[in-house]
Amino acid sequence: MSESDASLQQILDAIQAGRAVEESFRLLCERYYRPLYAFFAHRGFAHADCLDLTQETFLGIYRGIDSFRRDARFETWLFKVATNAFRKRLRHGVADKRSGEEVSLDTAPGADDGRSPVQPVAKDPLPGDSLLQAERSRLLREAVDRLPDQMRKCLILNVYQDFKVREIAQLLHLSPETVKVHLFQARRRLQKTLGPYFAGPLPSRGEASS
Amino acid sequence: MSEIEGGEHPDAETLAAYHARELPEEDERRVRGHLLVCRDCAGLLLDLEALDDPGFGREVEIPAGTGEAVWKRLRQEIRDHPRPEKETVIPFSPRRGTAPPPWMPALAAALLVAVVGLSAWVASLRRTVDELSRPEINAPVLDLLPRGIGPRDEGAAPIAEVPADARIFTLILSPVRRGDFQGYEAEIAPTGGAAVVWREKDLRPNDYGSFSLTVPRRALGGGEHRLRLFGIGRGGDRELLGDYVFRLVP
Repeated sequence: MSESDASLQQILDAIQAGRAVEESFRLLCERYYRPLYAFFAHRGFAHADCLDLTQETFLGIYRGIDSFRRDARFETWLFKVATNAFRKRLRHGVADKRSGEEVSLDTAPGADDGRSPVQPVAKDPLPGDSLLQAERSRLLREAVDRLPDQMRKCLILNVYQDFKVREIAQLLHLSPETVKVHLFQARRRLQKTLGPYFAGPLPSRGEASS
Repeated sequence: MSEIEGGEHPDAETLAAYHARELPEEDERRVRGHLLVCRDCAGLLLDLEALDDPGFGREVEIPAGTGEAVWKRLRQEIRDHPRPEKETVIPFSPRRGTAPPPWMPALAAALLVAVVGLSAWVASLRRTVDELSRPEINAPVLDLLPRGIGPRDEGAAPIAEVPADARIFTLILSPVRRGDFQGYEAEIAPTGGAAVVWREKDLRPNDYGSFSLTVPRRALGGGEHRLRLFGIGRGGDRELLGDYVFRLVP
């Protein structure tokens, strides 16, 4: 047990025993408010929401401290409480949007010139371009589906989800070296299979995810 | 766990179990499949991985006073809903509350007395064994004559005496008559008393037809004693073969 683990245990002991609770919780708060705030910031929340969710998570910890049995790491429990707070906020956000007032697009404010407020952002592609694009996408999808399972997962997380090698390794419980090998071999196989159909190098991220 | 793949997100518990590699194989496969299509859950898992890293979230700019603001609300909650201090409990047997049955002290006392008595008895036995194991020099040998035979009947012969310092002594018994008996036995009782204090069965006559009997003094006590020798017939009936008197000097 490291020194910081030991002091964390002492803090939790004190809180669970009801001794020096305010002081101990202050230490807990100082130790974890930054990672918790960052956890919610990573989910795309603005400062006010991050602050609110961080507070909510600490309140959850305070109220449920007796249920923490020490058979798991404290950080894991913190993650569960934070994730539940995040998911709860998302659900309420969706519910708020659903209960919002409906506004007609035709009579939207500022639409007094008689034009619809929604304007097309781009012109339609030419019919030939569209067909070619669709065909290339289908071929690519089929080729990816034929890859060995683990290799395919590494490629999808890298190309479609834009995760780095280290992150893919963590997500799939693999070593970074294995992920690198899978990605290298996947690209070679796709190049071999799809080379005749693609004039340029394969596949670029934008193209693969389209 | 419900179906995940593309649709429903795994809950926090499941994600944590996936991270700790504690999920059954089938559930792990489903979560992994979900991670391919759900960047949100993948991001949660990556954050879980990094949460205990001291550098986690360094890239996020946290406005000054955030920590204080978090603490302020939390402190308010702590003051509004204080946790009661738990009493220190001394761990002890789970049967702490149950009283011993009322007969327990009596049983304990009886056992104590029995143990003390047993110890005293064993000590006494050891003393006896030690005493009997010691060689006796010049242990007395008394050649007894049956009553009604010999000079005593005339009143002249003295009663054979066992000296006071003799621990053991040997009595030589000559029966009044001999017969075809299947066994012999002798018994000793204080003169004038009916109770037999010592009895020896399975006696065998020596080549001269007499019997020798070695007796520890402590088996009898002081005073005059009467010894009777019996022959055991085939039917088990006893026939008196000799009646002897001797005296242990106290």
